Amino acid sequence: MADEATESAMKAWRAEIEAMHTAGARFVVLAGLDLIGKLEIIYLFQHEGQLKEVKLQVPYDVQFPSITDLFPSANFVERETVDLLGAKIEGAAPFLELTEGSGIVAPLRKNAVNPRPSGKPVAPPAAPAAPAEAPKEAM
Amino acid sequence: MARTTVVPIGPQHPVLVEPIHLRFEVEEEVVKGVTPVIGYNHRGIEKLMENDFKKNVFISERVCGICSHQHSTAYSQAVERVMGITPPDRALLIRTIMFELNRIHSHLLIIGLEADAIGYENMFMQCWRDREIVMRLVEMVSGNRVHYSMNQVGGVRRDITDAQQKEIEAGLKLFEERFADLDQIMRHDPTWTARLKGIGILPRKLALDLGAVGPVARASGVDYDIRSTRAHPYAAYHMLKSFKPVVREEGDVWSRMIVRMDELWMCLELIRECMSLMKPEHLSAEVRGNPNGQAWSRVEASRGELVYFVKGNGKPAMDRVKIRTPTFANLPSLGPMLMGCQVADIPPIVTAIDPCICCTDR
Amino acid sequence: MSMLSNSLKNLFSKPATRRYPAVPANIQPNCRGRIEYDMTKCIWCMMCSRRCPTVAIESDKAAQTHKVYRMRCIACGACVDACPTDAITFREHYQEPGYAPIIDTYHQEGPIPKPGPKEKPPAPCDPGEAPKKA
Repeated sequence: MADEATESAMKAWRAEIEAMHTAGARFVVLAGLDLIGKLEIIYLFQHEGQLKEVKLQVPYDVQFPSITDLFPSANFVERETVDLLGAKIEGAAPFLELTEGSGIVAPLRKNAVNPRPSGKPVAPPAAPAAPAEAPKEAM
Repeated sequence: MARTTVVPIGPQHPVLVEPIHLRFEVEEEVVKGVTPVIGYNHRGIEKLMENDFKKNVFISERVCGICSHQHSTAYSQAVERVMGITPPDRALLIRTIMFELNRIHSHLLIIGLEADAIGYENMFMQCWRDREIVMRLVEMVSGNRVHYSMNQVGGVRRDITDAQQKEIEAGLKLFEERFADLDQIMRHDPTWTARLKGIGILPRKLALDLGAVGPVARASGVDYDIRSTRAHPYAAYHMLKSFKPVVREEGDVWSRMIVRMDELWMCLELIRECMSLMKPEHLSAEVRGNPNGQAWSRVEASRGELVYFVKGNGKPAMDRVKIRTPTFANLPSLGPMLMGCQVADIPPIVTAIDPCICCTDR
Repeated sequence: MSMLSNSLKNLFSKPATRRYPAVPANIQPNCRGRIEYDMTKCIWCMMCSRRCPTVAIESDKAAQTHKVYRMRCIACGACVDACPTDAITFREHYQEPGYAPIIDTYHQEGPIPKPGPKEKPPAPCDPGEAPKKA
């Protein structure tokens, strides 16, 4: 599934993560971004008072490994990225933030169209929403 | 023969202030396993923040009611870093004063809730009565008791005049006698110490591995405080000389509450130092254009390290805002703390990490 | 002072809570309650409705009417800060809860006033005065 460029990018990323672990850095957080067509994940570490970033870009459907074997504190935030952005991280169980069976898939993606609890899909609203409808909208 | 019972606590439960579901596996009053389930308060704030960057300040404030000013400071700081704006010193000092007032009310709240969790209603009422002093002070300065709305990108919106500074000083003096009482009670009261000492122990290695932040980590010997200038200075903390992080070694529930009590004393000194450093200046820097770029910003909220990531791409609407709240980082540490404890010890242990589930779920 | 002596002292002093609504609430002078328009000053720049984060203000320049949706207003003051002629102010009494959406309409009589000469930028804050718009 993954092509050559992605494979080599993942190897380089993994090598950087292992270098951070050997240097004794502290894992702070990771942020997932949706660049339409692929995801960019930025890992943030603190080492000797300085903040350092490690970036990874993967297409939507490519699986990449979790870093909890080296940094156990990354577990919850990886599971959240799996839920909200649809990242495919091996070993990160989904349904931390979302409920199983709700039909909501990757709501933070730019083109997300999600069903309302009644099951009918709703188009993204045109901006700005008219105030007269405000009491009936579920924000 | 011991049988395992599953005790579900939450999302609706009298001892929990916010909805979180904890499934306990219990064998005859001793907890053998716990699984947290979160997401009941998920409002989609990160998606909502793909909005005008100046309006996002008000949204970021409303992530949490207890640490609202701390969220809006972190957000404004992140956008200022992207746009290369430096707020004037007076704005930074006002931000810091409101930040520490926010910390005072938050710590008094959790000390009161911890007393409520062990059934010590008397102390709960005392703490929340003392909290009214700081609520009145912030209403006088900012106009609101909860969401202060003092921050804007570039600085602050309201000033703290000389008359208001005198009122704050009078409030701090009142706090000194109240804190002396509270300190005496938290260190020596028989009910408090007998109930809270020795439970919910988190060893230092686990605190480092599982990424605990805030008073939970500092009570286990991990010196991790974003306010110290050894890490990243923010707001006016690089100007303040009286700050020292509070670290203890025991790692149990009692020491977490003592860390918060010592931080309350530290807040009084920091507010006094900020007020002594204020000079007449503008309240806000000019903001031109739209943010283009990305930045990280970390602050030490009352519960721990709060991280914001913002990314703008030249339009007024932000491209991505990511929030990592301190309770989200502290939740995995709840597992080892709760292993092997009695069922009756679950409320004090869960309340001692200062759970703010609306922050966790955003 | 231990908890016991604290409790005995509290037993013989008056209650710490105010008997609201029999006793008026303890509202501080700067409190944000609700916004009000002074329609003699409005020059129809539309900055208030543009800046409102909750889309609570609907301005109609042709009809010279502002409609404020009270239930959406969060009293943040973005409109108060944005108005160039200080036509919007905060009133201290907060919006009470109600059974239906409350919409206040402000209408301006007569032709649209011309904006006055541009003001000088505000001086650095003098601590002795009341809070100024930055």
